[in-house]
Amino acid sequence: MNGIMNDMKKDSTTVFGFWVYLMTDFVLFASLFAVYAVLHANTFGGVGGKDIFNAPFVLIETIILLTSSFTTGLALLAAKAGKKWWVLILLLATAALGAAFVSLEFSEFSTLVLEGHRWTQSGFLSAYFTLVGTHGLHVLIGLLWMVALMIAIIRHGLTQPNMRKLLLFSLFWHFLDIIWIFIFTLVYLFGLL
Amino acid sequence: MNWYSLIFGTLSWSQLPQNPIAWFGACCVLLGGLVVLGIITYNKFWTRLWKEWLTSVDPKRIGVMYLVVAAIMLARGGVDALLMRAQQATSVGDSQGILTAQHFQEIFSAHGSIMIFFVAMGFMFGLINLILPLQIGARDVAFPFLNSLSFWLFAAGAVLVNVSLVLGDFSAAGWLAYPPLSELAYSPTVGVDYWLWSLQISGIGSLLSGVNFLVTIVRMRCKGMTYMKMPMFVWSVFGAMWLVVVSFPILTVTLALLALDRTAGMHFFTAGFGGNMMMYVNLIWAWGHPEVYILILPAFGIFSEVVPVFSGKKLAGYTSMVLSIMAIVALSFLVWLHHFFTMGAGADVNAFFGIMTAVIAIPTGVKIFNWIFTMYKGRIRFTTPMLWFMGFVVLFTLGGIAGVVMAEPPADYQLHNSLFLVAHFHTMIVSGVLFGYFAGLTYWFPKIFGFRLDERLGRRAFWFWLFGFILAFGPLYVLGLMGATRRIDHYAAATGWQGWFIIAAIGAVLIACGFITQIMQLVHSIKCRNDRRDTTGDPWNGRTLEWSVVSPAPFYNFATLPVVEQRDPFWYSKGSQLLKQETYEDIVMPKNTSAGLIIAGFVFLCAFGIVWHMWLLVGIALLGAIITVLVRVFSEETEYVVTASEVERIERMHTI
Amino acid sequence: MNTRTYFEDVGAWPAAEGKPHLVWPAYVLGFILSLLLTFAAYGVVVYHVLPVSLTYVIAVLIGLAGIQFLVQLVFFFHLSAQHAARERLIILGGTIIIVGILLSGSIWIMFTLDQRMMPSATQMTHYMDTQAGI
Repeated sequence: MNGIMNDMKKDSTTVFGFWVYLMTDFVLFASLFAVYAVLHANTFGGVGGKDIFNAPFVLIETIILLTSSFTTGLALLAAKAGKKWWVLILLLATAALGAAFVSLEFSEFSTLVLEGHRWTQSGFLSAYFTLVGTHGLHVLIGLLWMVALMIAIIRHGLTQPNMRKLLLFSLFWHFLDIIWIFIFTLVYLFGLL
Repeated sequence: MNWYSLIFGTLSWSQLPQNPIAWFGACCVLLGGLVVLGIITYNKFWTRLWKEWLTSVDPKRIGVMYLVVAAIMLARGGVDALLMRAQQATSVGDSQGILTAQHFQEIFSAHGSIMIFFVAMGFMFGLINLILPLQIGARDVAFPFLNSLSFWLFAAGAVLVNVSLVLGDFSAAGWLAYPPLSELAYSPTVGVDYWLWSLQISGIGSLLSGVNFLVTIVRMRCKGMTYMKMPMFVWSVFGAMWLVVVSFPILTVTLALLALDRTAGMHFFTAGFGGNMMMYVNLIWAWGHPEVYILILPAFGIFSEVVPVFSGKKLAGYTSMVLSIMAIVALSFLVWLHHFFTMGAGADVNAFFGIMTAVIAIPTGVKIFNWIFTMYKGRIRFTTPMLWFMGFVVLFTLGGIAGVVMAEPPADYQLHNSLFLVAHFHTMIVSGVLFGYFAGLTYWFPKIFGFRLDERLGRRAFWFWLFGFILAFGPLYVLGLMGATRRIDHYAAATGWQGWFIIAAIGAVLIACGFITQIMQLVHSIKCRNDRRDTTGDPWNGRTLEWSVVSPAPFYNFATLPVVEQRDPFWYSKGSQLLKQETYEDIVMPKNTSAGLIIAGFVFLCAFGIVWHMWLLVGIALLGAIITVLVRVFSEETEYVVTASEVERIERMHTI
Repeated sequence: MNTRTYFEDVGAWPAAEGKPHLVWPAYVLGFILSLLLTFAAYGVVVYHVLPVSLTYVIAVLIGLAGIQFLVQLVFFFHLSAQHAARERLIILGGTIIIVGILLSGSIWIMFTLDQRMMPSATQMTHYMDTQAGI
């Protein structure tokens, strides 16, 4: 059996399989969006979106995540050129941006909780924390993945398994950016209207 | 938080069973487990079990393990059903029956959840694992390790359900646990948590399987097998797996939100604080209706394989069969509201979903006609699989008509929540899904085990099931029309229902006899396996690729990957002189791995910890699961080579 | 394995047919377009740059999000009608249809349920006064 061709076919199947997994995640977020759409007005006399959303803050979060999506793309280009250290630098940049995003989101959540607007206060807050938090959890998983991937690339270089993992990671990260577009629009901007 | 609650959470001695029947159930679980462990130890089977089964990534072995778990859970769910029938036959007037109301509620909740999630789903994934790679001319599924992980997640869910028999209680909120009843305020015990987490774990397993098989069908078909040359079973699985991929995430979310309500004090579906319990019903059925088609489509596919083979004709209307599968797939996502017509949506909404529901009868009708046309002027052999089909086609059509009746919202307002509905969906799930899977199991059994099941006992089991089914569920249609609601643990003598309930109980006993006969059939067939060996690889005069290899199929399925030129490729190759393969080549196969088992073990501990609020255990288990995933993902040597000479040796061993 | 062609070989990026395919302009263009679309949506909401009614603003925002979705699919995911990407495109299309049905169906159903089954306090009083004869 022709080893190299077979490996390429396998990796191609893995990429497709990961795409199908992303579709399941897409439906998962869609369900959360549906829940948010139904519950967004159920503030139970407490705060609503207009009271707690901070437009410039969310814009900064959005730009950070978008930039990290761009640096992921650049990391792929560096990998294509076979420049191991550029890949690592760009992944590090992506991870730093991702970490900045997560810490901004964490500070947003903790401010809300400290002001007494906990997820136990109303249907709206439950839906808000869960939808945005699920996205944040995905970003956190992406960060963990990046750390593991960087270690693997340092140890083994741009081998085929590492190229595959890098590609799958980039799909995951771009996907999270797309989900964030909808959170930005449907949760924050709609809430501020 | 003190140390005790950090480690043991809310668990205490008072959580052990409280009444004799529950004690008996707990003892059965513990003793059954001990006996199995004892037998394995006595026969020194542990090493082989671990090396060849538990860590296996061979879909045929995983399929067999699915079937074993499904059979155990069928017995468990069947006992639940017998208890329910016994209660309803005796609990009339002054008599309170054998069960307390609370225990009765737990039992019907467990029965429904187990039968759908652990019997029907397990049976389905078992059969798909056994046969799908063989039918598409592949050596394995697309992601063998993921397949093993899916199975073990499914098994972990099944274990969690049975743990609830011993520690704590099970959900008493019905098989779909509608809030607000399932919220903490009204179900304060761990029952609903057990329900939530066992379904969540096995549901994620099913989701991963769905991805795996969808990719397998799209990417792993042998050369020449274009979409319109795929066997009909593959088409039906394709449809079902697509539905899994797009519907199971909805279940994951719905269960997660209810769990957040119960564990984190959120307000998605609570009665106060701006929760909306109707959203739960909406979401759970947006998953639940496609789920019904996920189960029935593979059964349709099995019949589309069985009927042509035993009629000696090709399947009538292949293209229309494909189109009807696709139509059912599309429509299954447009009907979910018919499960809650009575919740009070507007007339326009009810009308839309009512019409969509009735429309599904058309593609289903196309399939029924095609099977009958296939039989028409055929040379029919009335083997057991064919008997299951005959039983199916009559009962399923009748049950389907009952479904069309209920698709009309005005009629549904009368029939909703009545035993008529219970009778309807049991007709679909038992005489549709289960009969189909039994037919498939009997049909494909020789390919996996190398010998046929006993026909005489198989027929006997069929008749038990058929008459048992008619007696058990015929009266339920009548009772439903008389006004008997589902899930009642007690009724007045003046209703005149008792006679019908007694007939239904007799029917349930007959079904139990059918199940016991099937166990006897299995035991007898294993004992006398040398008399019924399948030496040809093609015991039924089959038409598709799985019959072109020896029985039992070797672990690599095909020594040389087949090339296909038309539908029913094996059938049309029979006349011509097949060139026997003389040269073999190296085959790359995935290595067995215990990673799936270990990850699922950690996930089980994590779920158990959440149920009992043992947060230390949750943390450790979560960490363990993450580390195992990372180790597995970054391990490189996951495959090995079967040399050409080894393949040749195995092939020659079989042909002589 | 050749890193230079790996992403094309596994079908993730469009294969170079004759002329070399330049991926980096796609990333730069996608990034700039996404930023512009984000700023546009932000401006509509925060600075009220569009003097139209709320319904139109909502439609514009959904439109901008939809365009950015497409932009990222094309420039970041490199989706095209090319053969290697076709099955991914079909699966995505199917999922979008299902998501559309799920979202619009849920909102439609829950809207009528809310209207009919979750009346406000004033509605309840009104109903009791006029209909129930209490």
